[in-house]
Amino acid sequence: MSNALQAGEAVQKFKLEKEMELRFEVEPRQPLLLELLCGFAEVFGTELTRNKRYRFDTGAKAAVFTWHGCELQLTGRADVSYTARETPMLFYLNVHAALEQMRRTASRGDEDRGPRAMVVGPTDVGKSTLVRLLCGYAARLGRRVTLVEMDVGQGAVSPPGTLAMLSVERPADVEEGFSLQAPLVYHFGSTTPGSNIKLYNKVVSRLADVFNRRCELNRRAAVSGCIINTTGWVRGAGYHALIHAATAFEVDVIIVLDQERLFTELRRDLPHFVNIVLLPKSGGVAARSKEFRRESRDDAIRQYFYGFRGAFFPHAFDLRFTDVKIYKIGAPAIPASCLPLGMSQEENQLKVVPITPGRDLVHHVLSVSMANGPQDNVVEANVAGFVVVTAVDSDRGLLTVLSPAPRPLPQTLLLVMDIRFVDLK
Amino acid sequence: MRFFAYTPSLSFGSIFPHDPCVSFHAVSAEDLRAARHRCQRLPPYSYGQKDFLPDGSKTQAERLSCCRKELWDLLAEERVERLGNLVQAEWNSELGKVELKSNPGKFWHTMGHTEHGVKYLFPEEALYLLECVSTSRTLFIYLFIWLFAFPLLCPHLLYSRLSLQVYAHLKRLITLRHPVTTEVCQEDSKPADTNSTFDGAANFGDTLTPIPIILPSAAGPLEILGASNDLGAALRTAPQSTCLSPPTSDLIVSDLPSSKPLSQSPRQSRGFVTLCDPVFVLEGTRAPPYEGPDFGKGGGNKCHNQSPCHCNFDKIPFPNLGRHRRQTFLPNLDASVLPPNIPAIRESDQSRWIAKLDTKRKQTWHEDSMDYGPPNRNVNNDEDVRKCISWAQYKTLHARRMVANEAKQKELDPWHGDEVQPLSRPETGRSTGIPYCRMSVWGHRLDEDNHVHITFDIYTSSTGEFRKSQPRTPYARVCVCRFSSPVPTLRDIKRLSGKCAGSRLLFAAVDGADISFFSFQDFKLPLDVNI
Repeated sequence: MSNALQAGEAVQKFKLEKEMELRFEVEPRQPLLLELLCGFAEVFGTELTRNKRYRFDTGAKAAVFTWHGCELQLTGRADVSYTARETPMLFYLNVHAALEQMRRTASRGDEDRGPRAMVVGPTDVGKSTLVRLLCGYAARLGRRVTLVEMDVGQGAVSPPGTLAMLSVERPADVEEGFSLQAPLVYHFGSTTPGSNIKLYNKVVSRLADVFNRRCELNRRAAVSGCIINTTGWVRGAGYHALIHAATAFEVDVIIVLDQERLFTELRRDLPHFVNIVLLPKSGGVAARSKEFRRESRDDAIRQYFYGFRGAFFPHAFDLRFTDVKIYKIGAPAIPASCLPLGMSQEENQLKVVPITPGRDLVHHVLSVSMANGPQDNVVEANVAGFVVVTAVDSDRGLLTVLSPAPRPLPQTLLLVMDIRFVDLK
Repeated sequence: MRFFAYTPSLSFGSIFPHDPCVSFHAVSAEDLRAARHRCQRLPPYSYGQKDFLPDGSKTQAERLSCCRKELWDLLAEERVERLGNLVQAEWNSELGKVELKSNPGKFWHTMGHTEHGVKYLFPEEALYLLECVSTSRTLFIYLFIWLFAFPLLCPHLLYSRLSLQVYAHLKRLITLRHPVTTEVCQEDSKPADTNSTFDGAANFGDTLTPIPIILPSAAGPLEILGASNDLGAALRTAPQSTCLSPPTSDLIVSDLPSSKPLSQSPRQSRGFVTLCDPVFVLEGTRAPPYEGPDFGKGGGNKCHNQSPCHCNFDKIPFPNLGRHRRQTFLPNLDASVLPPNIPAIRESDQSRWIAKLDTKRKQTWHEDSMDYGPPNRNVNNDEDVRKCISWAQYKTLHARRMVANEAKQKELDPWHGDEVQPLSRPETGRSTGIPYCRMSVWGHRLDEDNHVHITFDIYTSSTGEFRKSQPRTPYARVCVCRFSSPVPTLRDIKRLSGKCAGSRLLFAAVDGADISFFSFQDFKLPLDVNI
């Protein structure tokens, strides 16, 4: 896709003084080109290259910050574009500096591990942005921070319905995001942790175990520490899931964005040696509607199969019912009156239930589990990739799937997600 | 100086009218003083407590200060209608009772007992008397005294907090009695008499025998359990700056510097002189909730000396806008810790962000205040947790406690944690009697562990024949439970009904400040299945 400037398009120039920010939102069906004319600027921790045009697609929201002062040019129609002086970037930079200080202490051998930070807060306060910023700053200093993505709805590492871990070696690309080199992904199956909170906590514990093992084997990863992104569900079971995650990862720092109550409650429920800080959210954070979130999820799945801006070409092929084993994690809820005396409903949430392929499986996303069979620990097995069921022929016993790679599948155990993907575009 | 309302929940930060002309209708301290003897009558022109917003001006501050002084003078004034109604009493920590030092008032007809010629009140009775004062006089200073007395007496209470709530409620309405040890009743109440008049009481525990308590039929109790000659004197002995300091929105309970060592246990202190000895005040703190290591005070976040933690923030503290360990002064940042192309950052004060967050905080608290249940206990109040300096230690402590809890559960329930299995299998079930036999073991255990029991006996005051020594058959017997507790099982109802021969069985379900009473009017119990 060309980033060339087309004739007749609107051009806006902005001159930013130091510690100012340009915020813009891209109009529907109108991509926008951003160019740094002079000075230094960055987008969520990633530096802009001078005289290079960055393209932002429909619905994108971005902020360009400068520590020195710069001149920028926007080509195309922006839905909203304005400059702002009041940003919390100084706070965020200080957080980075404090984390970096802890990494240095660890690298000197004074501590056995680097900082483990968790970013929490309600929806639409900029958690993912702050995580990206902190990972970017650390990567620019040569650290290899582990990004733990626990947001199953709007994750930046893997498709929705999954939890993932990624070793960040370089700052995220301005247009494309993080370079997804060998992420470790686990199946969850839904876009909200509340659908199966027991499974969610189980997978979080698994992620923590894996990270601890990695830290034992890789000194650089241990020193760099991790930054954990969380969901915006901070009430009830969601709050308890946060406590569970903090305990499982043994976090040192929790950054609470924009909610005093959550800050107070975490201070109450976590031991004193966990440093919990409250930071403001940026004024540029925009609330996202349900429709926008749904479209973002669709785009994330589409990008998995078709690549960034359609750079990949997925494969469609048939699978015999007998060639694959399809399961779902979590049995349907049973009335308490039907359960044996003393048994609780929770025990059903981790059950692996076999699924018979049928018409209702069409458009469902399936995870290709690395487990060899149901006798393995399917719940805690990571996934090799994903396929989407595009058709089911019960008479012939065939499934048609959309796959990022040609046949055969790396494993034959598939896990059904609640998430559907209709390939319309 | 004038103010609008005179209620226990008066907000001192908002009692001045913003518009001076409005104050024409305000009630002065003199008005209140004149109206203080007119019971059941509200002061005129009570317009509520929030008629203006504070503007922070000096004039308003002076008026507020003056008003506070007037109001606290008023509050410090003796409120008892007749000084003769005051009763001197001392707390006897050895016996766990309140020893009366002067002649009791009318309450003695229904409360108290004599032991070796000394008159005593049970802690429940003393608390009830204090509570009556605090509520009937609408003086919240008494409420503080009650708040102080409650933790002092709490370990000696026979009742739980719920039961105490129901007890105080019922005491205002009807006659009731509560169980005490037989040792107490030997002089005032003879168990034999009680048993002869009430069959159910004989089965009411092996060691518990009821003594009667009756509510005075007068409009309200006149007695005050006092420390010294009178309550006002007791209050005046407390340091003015602390005991009578005006309340703030953040009510922090603590005690004052006093002549007694602060470490002295309330159980060891003798007498209600402690009403003003460690006194509850609204400002200042002696033992604030544990705040964790002092990360943010003094401009730098440093770890607590006693607990070297994993983090080391000697040079660069984490910024923090939270109320605890606030850190809005951002230090110089050397370029070496910053990514390339970010210049060294000079120190700056970012406290302006607090105002933005505060506005948001109020909204958030308001929105979410109803979404959460009762607050949990702060884990850091636990001394063992405070000693932990790492997650490893914390988890070890947790695991140890889990094991201890499991063992305790296992003691109570031999099947705790065991796999759930069917009571009977087709291949082993020869007769239906076998499952019944196994179920009967459960029933036996449930009966043992059951906590539903009769807490009070209620007597009607209409008969006029009530005597502490001979209470006769109660009108009803009361079981106290939470509203959220499970409904009593059939076995409970059968067991309790068996103890209520001739009396009604009432269940008092407490839900916050609300108490609901339930009873079964007419029911038939099923017959036991004989195997």
